Amino acid sequence: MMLQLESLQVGYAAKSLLHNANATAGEGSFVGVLGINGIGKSTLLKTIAGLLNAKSGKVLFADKDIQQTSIAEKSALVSVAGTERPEILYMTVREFVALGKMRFTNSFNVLSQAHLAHVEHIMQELHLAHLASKYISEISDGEKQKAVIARAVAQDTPLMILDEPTAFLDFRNKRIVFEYLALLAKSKRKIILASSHDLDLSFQYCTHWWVIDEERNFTACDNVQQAQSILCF
Amino acid sequence: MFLSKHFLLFVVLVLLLCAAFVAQLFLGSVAVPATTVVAILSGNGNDEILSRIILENRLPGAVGALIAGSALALSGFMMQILFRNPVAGPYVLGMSSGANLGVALLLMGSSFFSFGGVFSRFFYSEWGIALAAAVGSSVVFLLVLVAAKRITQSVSLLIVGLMLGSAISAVVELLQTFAGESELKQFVLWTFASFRHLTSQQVLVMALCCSVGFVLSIKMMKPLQALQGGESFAQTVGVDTRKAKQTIIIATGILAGTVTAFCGPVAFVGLAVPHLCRMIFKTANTVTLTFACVLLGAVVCGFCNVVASMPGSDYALPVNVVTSILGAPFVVYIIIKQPKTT
Repeated sequence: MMLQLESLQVGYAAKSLLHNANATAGEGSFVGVLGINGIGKSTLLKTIAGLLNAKSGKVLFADKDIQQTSIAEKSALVSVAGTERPEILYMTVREFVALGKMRFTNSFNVLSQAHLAHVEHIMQELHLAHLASKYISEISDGEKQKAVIARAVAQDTPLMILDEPTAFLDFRNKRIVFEYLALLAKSKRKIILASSHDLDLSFQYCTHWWVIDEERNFTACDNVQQAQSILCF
Repeated sequence: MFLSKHFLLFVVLVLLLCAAFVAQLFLGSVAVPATTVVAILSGNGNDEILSRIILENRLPGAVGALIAGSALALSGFMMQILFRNPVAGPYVLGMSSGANLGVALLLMGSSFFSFGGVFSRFFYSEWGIALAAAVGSSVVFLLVLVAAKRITQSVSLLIVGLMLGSAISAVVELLQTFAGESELKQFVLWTFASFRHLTSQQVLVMALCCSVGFVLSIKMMKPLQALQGGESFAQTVGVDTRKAKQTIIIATGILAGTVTAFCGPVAFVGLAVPHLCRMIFKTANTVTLTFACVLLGAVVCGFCNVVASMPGSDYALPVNVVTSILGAPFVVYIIIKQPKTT
């Protein structure tokens, strides 16, 4: 499966943020999406996830136009970890992560043992297991962020999109998350897109970089040096 | 798996439900000895008046109150999740003021129009009132929905609902000013809400309409689980939010609309019971909460009906007096007590 951006233009009705983005990402790529605040990273990611309409151009995943794909079909292809902090009264971290398995539950919200075991496994990998029975509204922002990532992983899709997944994390957890995502991309052959301001980690763990410079030019880079030169290192 | 954890609580709720049903049959303003009630229910009653009180008055009223409680609690529960607002409910968003307007226009709008001939017998009966209430509440509910499409902030939507409610109340008050005494009394009695006047035919129609709403609600249990995280969140885990939203709106409309049409605008049950369920079960599992709302809503309405009938006295209280006196302080308590969420 391959992700392709074809002369993609993203933005909102009155404002265009990004023109003519062209890129491809193959199985096993871990793509760092880099650029300064407000340059259009989140909008680009939302458009690729099919949550926003492209102003022009196309996003193709597995040769399907993501804008034309039904919600149910999309949930089996793309998972999204946004920047929101979940605030759901009396929902445990375990239940929240299990929401990623929504497409596998029956109409009584019950999951098979195998899927439940996968949820537990993900929480362990992200060092969330000790919080599993706590309410999501009572844990810290950093812990919530890891729960959001775990929820996206639980969805088990070939394409994962994460918007600043490490923004609220301490330095140790930032590394845990990057290491885990890199491993997922490599071992499960997933395509992972993650925007980040943690450039060092992104340069270290990602395999590709999509860089947006201050003139809103989009460049897909295959090597660190190219990405660094655009960001004026 | 999620249900078994709360099995004991459900057993308690079912027992309370039975108690609420039995209490409604045995207690009422007319004191009927328990042995007589049992005799009448088993078909051995020999007092015609008492038989009629039990079988034609208390029995349909009891069943009606239970159905109404379940329906209101469920619709409040779904509205709270859909609007992501703890104080949402059929009452707050103006549906009952719409029903008020429909009934007010029917009963007191005779200076503007009136139904003559064949129609008058239908329109000025209990069925006509039910229809007027149903039409009124649907119209207002649709207006709120149109607003909901344009307004993304749920607080703003709530204000729109409140404003719509007070504007409608003003029209209703205008109608009251010019209404004749008997029409006015009939209208005011309707706004008090009541289960005791329900006939078995009405309860049957109520049950049929509500069962459609119940089936739709059961179908929505799964999408509601994800909708608790917001609409775009639900979309990313595969919920067709547009379809889910439509179904939820239709279900709440049917449930709350039916109850309001037959029993009048019952206050606070739809708002308070879902919170009560969350507090008791301490869960966000919408399957558990759906069944909890159905049971606890019925229990609350059943007991409120008993209290409203003031057993052993010559007086009866309006159902809304009971639900408001119990409900209002409870809602305040929830707002203060609720764990921090945004």
